[in-house]
Amino acid sequence: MKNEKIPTNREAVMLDILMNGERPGRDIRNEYESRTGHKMPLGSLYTTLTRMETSGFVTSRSGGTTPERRGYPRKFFSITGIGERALSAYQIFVVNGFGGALRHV
Amino acid sequence: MSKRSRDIFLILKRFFIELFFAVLLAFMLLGTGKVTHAVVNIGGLESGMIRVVIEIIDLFFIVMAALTFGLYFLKLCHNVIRDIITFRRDSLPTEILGTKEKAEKWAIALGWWIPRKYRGDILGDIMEDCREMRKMDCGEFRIRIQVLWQWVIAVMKLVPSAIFGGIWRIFSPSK
Repeated sequence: MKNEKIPTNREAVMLDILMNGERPGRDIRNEYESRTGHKMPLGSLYTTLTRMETSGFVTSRSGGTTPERRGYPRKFFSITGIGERALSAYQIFVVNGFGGALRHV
Repeated sequence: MSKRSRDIFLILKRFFIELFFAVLLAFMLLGTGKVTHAVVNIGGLESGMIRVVIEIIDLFFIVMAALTFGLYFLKLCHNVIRDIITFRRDSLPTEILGTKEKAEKWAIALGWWIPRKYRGDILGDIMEDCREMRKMDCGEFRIRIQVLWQWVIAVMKLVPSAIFGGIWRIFSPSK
């Protein structure tokens, strides 16, 4: 846990959404907006998801396409073990405050 | 109008519109240079240090205008070649070309500015958004604004991230 990265607020919400299983990028955006009430443009969504992928929180795979997408493939994201640990570290950090996080370390 | 002539018309139309903007941009830079020249030389004393400064300003704006026009023109030529390849391979979804769904056409036309890594995902999501908004009886104008807004944010966020990512890949210490 010593070098565990703590996700940002936005990343934590997205990790929590992914705890329910693999989701395409657009679904993550829609659920994020309904949970938080904040708009998330697609540019921000994919920047965050790429950053999370670099940090090892999520993995992605390219899926099939649908007629609505006009031939563009859909990308699915799923949470990794590192992501799950990071989310629980974040929850400890938020619930117990800074002191709680230090105790955990 | 046959498909071939329509394609040529579209390519030429885009070329001349962008050429107009390239020339306009270059002239705007030259105009800014003239204004700066006049402001610096407000007393009309073109002598000594002021003359040197004015020479530098003039040169700077001429070089900037030439560079801007040159780069823009190169990009234009690249666009034309890319369009020819796209139309020859029929890469543009034909069901969009024949319809009045301008928002989707805009998204595809503007999509070239989005880094390749993200282009497919973003355009696909925009297409789905457009379809969903049409189902909700949103007006065509609102859909277009939505497309433009998504595009602006995508370019603002993803282009710097792609540039810095590329630079980091070149200069980062090897593992």
